[in-house]
Amino acid sequence: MTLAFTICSINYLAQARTLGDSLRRTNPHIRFVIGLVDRLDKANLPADKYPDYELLELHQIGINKLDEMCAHYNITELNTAVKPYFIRYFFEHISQVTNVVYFDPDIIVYQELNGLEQQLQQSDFVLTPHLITPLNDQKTPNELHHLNTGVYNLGFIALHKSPQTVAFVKWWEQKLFDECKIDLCNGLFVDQHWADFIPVFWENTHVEKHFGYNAAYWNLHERTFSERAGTHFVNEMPVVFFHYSGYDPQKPLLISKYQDRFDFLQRPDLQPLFLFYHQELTRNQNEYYRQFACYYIKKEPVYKYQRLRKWLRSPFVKLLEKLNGMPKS
Amino acid sequence: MTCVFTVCTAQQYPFAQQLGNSLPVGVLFKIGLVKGNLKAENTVAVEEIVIPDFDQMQARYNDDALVAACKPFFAHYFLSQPGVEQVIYFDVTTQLFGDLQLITTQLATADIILTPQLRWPMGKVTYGDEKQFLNTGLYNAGFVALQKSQNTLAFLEWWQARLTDRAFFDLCHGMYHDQLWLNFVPVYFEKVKVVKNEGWNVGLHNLHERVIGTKGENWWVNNQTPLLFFNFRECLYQSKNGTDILQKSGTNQLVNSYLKSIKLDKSSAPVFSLYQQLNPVVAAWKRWLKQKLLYIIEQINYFPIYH
Repeated sequence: MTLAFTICSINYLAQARTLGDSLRRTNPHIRFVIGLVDRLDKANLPADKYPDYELLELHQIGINKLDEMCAHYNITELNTAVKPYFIRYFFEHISQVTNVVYFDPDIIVYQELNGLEQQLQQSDFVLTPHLITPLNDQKTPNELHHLNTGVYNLGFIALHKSPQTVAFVKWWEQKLFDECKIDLCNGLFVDQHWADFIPVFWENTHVEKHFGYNAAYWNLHERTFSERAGTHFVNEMPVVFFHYSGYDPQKPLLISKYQDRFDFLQRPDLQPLFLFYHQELTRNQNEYYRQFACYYIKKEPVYKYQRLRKWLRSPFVKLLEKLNGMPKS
Repeated sequence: MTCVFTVCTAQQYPFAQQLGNSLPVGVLFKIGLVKGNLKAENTVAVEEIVIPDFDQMQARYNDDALVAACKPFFAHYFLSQPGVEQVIYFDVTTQLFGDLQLITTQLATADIILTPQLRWPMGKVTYGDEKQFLNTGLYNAGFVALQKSQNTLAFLEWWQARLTDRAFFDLCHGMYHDQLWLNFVPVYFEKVKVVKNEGWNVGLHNLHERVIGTKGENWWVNNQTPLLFFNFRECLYQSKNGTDILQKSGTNQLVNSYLKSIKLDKSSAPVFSLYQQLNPVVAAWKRWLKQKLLYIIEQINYFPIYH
């Protein structure tokens, strides 16, 4: 049995519902679970706002020292750090599970996933690279950004349950317990950068180079879209799933807040895909859910008197720079 | 025909000679010389090959980055020589211990051969841990083997274009000379083989997972795989952790005999060491003062006046 899941807090439930709806349309045989990094009982979510999907709350999967993780991470880091913990829960507690597929909540699945399920009969891991072909300009994001944050996009990963993947999940858990940070100078970029090691440390990895998998703002240079009779195509192949990373329905003119390469004027081929996403998020009440603060994340205090603090610390910073022998930004 | 080559400065020539001596007799061996004057029969000066923006590269890079950046240009040059079908690049600090054919036969089915820095998850060991390989490269650029093909030429052109202006040592911005770029290679190009044999490309960075020993006349890795080639680059500098790893992995004898054969002492060897860059020797008082300063800055930043 294939189980697909996503992870989010209540503020992203419109996205998760949209993903769930798309899986229900295209792959009704796949069991879909929303891993919720939040507490429904504390949020007082009214019954009619519960998504019509299986919900598995973070405190139910038995993470050792969850408090420590919560104290250590912000909302993005925590939502990414718990990925292997959920996968292990599915492997260990749902005996029929043979494949686990993770999708970021901001993905829509447009096609049957039978190709992926067939691949998982031969491969233990399926990963999608950010880029399949070189990107020759230096706008954002470019190849250097991917070198700093990971060759594969971890908005998607598919695993076939095997000794290999069980070992990987355990290793990943250990890494993400305290090193699911964004610290580029030290090689860290949440859960994603660690996954670069998968094809090196483990066998049976398939790197999927189908242009219809994990199409997103970072690989638009190599993908042209079209729509015919209600079906979306990319480079004349069906779009299997599109990843709307960085899209904000409140700013519908921006493809993604993380890129500066394209806009919708240059890329009218993207409009049908995004128009549909905008409608779906609206229908799934994004405006309502987005206002919830995550139960697990303590609000960071705003420290006052920043100018005074800067002036006070400047001599110490200067001395430190001198010791380090180079300017510190 | 196979051409084995390395790229270095004139100062590093003794290393190149030692690499050449370790190769089988009759193998074509070339040395790409990036800086300095040296007339030896198997050297090719960088001025002899076509690098369109070499002047700018010279201006923007230090010697270490320049040597690294010229690698794909030399590879392309040697691959274009009449009769040459394969090229094998070794870092200048490499020595071959086994049969070169073990590499060339792999090129019958692959266009591009790379070796990973690490073979297995490492946990935390004295060398560091896995994350430092995430922004310095999954594959070690001290070895690349190439079969002549359109695919290989496309790879070299792609690598050349990047190394022309993005071969700095700047880990915070996704750059580590020529090496970090290799992360893309198995994704972008066809017929790429990552050889995970533990006897290939042994060096300080993977000695925590390998034990070196002799059986009869030959060196073996983990008591089960013949040692094919060893890169001494990171073993040339003395550090406490480095010494510990050499000791534990049984590599001291190997390193010492290498140093003796190139007649250099450890301190005078002018080769870039990543380990040294990442773990500079800092005097105790400096380390203490730095910690104090960081503590004071933190206190000023986070003294709780907030609403």
